[in-house]
Amino acid sequence: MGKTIMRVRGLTKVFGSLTANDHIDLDIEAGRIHAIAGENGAGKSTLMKMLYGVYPATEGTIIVDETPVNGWNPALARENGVSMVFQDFRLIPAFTVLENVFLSLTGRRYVINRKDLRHRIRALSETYQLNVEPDQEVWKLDLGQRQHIEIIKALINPNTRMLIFDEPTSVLAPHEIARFLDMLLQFRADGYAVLLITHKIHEITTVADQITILRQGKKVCAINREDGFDQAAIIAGMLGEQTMEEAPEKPAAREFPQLPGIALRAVTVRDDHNREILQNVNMELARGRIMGIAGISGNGQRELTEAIFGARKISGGHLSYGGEDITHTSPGQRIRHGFRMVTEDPLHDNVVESFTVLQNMALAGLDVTTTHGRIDWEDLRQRLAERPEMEAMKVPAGDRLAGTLSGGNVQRMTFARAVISQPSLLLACYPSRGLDVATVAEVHRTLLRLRDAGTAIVLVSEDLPELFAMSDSLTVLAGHQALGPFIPSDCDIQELGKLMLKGDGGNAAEQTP
Amino acid sequence: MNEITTILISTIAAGTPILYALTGDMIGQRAGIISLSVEGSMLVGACIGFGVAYRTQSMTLAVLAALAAGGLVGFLQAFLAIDRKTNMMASGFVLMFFTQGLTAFYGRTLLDVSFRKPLTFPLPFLSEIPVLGPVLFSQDILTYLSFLLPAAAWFVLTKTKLGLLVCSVGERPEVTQAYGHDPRKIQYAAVIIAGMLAGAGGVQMSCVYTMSWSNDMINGRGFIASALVILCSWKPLRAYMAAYLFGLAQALLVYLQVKGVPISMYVTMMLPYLLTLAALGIISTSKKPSMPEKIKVISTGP
Repeated sequence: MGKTIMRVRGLTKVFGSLTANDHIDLDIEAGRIHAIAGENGAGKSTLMKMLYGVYPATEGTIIVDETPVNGWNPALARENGVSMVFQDFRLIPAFTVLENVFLSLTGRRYVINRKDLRHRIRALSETYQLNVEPDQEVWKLDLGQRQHIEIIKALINPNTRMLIFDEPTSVLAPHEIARFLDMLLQFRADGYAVLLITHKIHEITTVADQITILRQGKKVCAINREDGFDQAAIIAGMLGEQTMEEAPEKPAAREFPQLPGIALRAVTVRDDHNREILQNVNMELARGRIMGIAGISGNGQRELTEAIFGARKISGGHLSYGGEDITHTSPGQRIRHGFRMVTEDPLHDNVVESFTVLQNMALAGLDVTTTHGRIDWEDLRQRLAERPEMEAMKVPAGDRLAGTLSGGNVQRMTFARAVISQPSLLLACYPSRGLDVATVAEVHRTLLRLRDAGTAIVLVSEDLPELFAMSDSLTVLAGHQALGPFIPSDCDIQELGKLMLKGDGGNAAEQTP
Repeated sequence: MNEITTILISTIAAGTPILYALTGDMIGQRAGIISLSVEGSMLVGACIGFGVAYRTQSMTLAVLAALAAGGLVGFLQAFLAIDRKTNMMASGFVLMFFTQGLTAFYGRTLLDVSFRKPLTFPLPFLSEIPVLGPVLFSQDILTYLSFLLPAAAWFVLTKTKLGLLVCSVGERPEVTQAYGHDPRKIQYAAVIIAGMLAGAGGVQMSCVYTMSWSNDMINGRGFIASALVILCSWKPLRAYMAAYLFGLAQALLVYLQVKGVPISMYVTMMLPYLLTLAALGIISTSKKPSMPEKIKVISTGP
């Protein structure tokens, strides 16, 4: 056992009427990986932000090196060797890696010594196999690489001895996760204390030495690896009384021959840098079917769904809806056809932050009724309350501002909104990402219900088992191509995974040094 | 002096006030605030600087007064744009109209006076170099300083922590804040510096270039400078090119008039603006995102 770096006693955080953390105790030791597990909204992020000094604690003490700290804040935390890798990266896209790292340095250096800094960044990259070049501009890098910059920012401070990771794998592609976990083990071997916030059981059982489980702001239990990890017990601890949902039984798909489906013919789409990210895409999707889109992230998933929805220009080929060519129609026209999209980043793309949940729902969910031209909000509120989806998806209260919701809650809201309008085509990008187990099961049930009511669904996901369980057909995006369709029952998950990797001519393979 | 030297001298003379305002506004824009008020800052710098120079016969005091006056207009712009969150284009225009009136009032007694002797300090030997010597090394202090200004701005903005902080505010102020710096203070400082530099450009124009004061003598140069920031893609070293391009157009205008080329004066007066417009039209906006993100939000919407 390593030296105890930080002790936390009775740490409590109250936001208004909500107790986000209720008398939490923790011991954090050097050379150990300590996982903080819990569902969405269990209070994990709040706890970490208190440990890093972003939020002042309402009650309780943080003890560093046996000395209780006063006026704990991020600057003081960094001075004491506590570093945090945030879920939303603190990077300036227009700057190079080196400039971003330089900004984070606290020393009294006013002029950049590029040579020295470049050397130090390269040395760290080599030690931990981080995939960044000091002079690359950040806007060109994918999320995994941006995370590496955050890690360098933490490690380059010689004081650092405790690393806090907030849901680090949520931005990573599946093949990057194993490498990331290896890196955590290396940090442990080098004597760093690692605090890992996650709700992914697999990661916890793979690397953690100790698990603290939070539920509804309270510490449920702490388990040491020496005592053995029982996956079922961890899940039970996270979920409480609820029973684990089995994967939904998927009924046979029904036919809706009279309803129009969509078809793509030789479609080419370009990415934000005007490069052809997908070429010659041919696919057909009938109503009452779920098409799963598999692939390592960044292979055109976003571009393809945006092109189908109309938010991105189709630069070649044709898109048709029930035989009608709609290649050049606007998103507005496609929404009137019943197209709906839940994007990868709903807070950014789908929501007006300064509107309430109810106003956001009215924007693109239910039709509003008006009395003398005025919107009848009470009527909308009542009709929404009657929708089973609102309850099942645990959509937050209608008068809360969208900008104050957590990422998971925004996702619930946008998903429920898309579902309520009974779309003809639903483009669902990573609908279960970052949600807790129970809500994911509800998302899956809802998708199947929609499918059986005649909606055509495009399901984009990084989670192959999810795609296999949900999809009627699968398309793999790799190497600028859309491969498929594959029928899940006829193909092997390993084979498909290989196809994803082998066909990948994009960033992942090339940039590995 | 041959004709090329003459044209180059007037290019530098006409380009220098632009160079000041342009570099200043570029610093402000890198911090996320467009100061159309540099027009106003130039006006008060020109007027008050000229007034102080005339009354005290001290160029140093004149420059200090112009810096203060220009900085004050910059401060007003900063207050309106940062703290009151007004539309920064609108506040820039309003400040321009206000300073037009203010300087016309303050400068009404200065209209009939002018300086006789130029304020140049020819550098020994260097100014003797044929063609370029008189252009580069027979100038006033403000012009000499202006030669260094974009290079200094380039050094600070790209090589120092201070500069990176300024630029980070124009990109992601929340990140700047996360590092423990106050984006508001940085923006204030940048916009006030933009005003001060524009004020210096103004006093250079009245005390050195025209050696007199006339109403509204800046005549849109501040706006031009603000627009030229785009032409420079927010890169300080390109300020030389942009400012002297405008200066060259001005110089050609005078040259054509002196030569008696039979073109309407009004057509030639359009020339500098036409050149600027053409340059703005040609500049590529694709490729790398050189525009600070906060400026992008203003000009193209979020």
